[in-house]
Amino acid sequence: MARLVASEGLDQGAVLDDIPWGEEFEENAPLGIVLTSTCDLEHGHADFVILAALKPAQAVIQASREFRNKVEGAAGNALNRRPWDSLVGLLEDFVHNANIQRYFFVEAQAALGQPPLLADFQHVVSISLGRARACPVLATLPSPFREQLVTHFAAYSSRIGVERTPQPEVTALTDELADPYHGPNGAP
Amino acid sequence: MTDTRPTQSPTALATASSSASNVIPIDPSEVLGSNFLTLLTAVGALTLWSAPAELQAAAPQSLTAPRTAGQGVDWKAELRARYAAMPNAAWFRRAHENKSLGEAIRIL
Repeated sequence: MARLVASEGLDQGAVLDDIPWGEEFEENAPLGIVLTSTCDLEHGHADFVILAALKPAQAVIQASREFRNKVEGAAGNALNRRPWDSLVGLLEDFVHNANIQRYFFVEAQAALGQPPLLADFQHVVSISLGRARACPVLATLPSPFREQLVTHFAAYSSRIGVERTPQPEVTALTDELADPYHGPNGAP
Repeated sequence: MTDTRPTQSPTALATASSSASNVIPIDPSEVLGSNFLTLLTAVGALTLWSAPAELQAAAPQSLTAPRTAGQGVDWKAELRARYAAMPNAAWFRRAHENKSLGEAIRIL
């Protein structure tokens, strides 16, 4: 699991406070995690440091459309087996960073005394190296998770939008691939 | 914050210096002449030192002090409080309320 540990050095994966996100974000400003490569920082090739905001994971996930859809129709807080399994599957994907998506999950209890956090790849900022060096370092993400974080960021940033294949064609293909097995009604 | 430290004019400072036995006397006119930039810098520094409270309040929220001091303030508790309040911030609600988690690319 991607778990933050104590650290005070500025490096890829370092968690910084006091980041100038902008006036709008002064209220309860998030911490940031460094995405800039270690070698660029080590060899003085980086004049600027790129950071992604760290958000409270539970709040982000529970505010999302996907989460709300999955708990919709629940009797109180109790979900039936299938919706619960579906919800757990969604959450496990986050915990394992199994999918490359907008967020990267990090466990923060030991290093920061915090519930889990999500690095938000849409909420990034680039600040001067001097400004970054003035920011307090609270923790870091050790290898190989810091590299995994950046790989996810790169993949998320370089997605290419393609047309979705029409459903009838997809159904024909899945029926062919599943043959001789079929759905509960006998017919595909 | 107000600077309550006693102040002396450059002339008084120079006079005080020259009265000490082991220092080179300083001509007051030199203090006000060639070192005028130094004087200006000192005045500027004093002005900043007593900057209005609203300027100091505008400084970004920081965990540096409690963290480096290592005593007095529980910075982890401060951080927990900040993160607990974050979902109520206007910027957070705008960015995440009823928004999609994003299309995922499956890792095999």
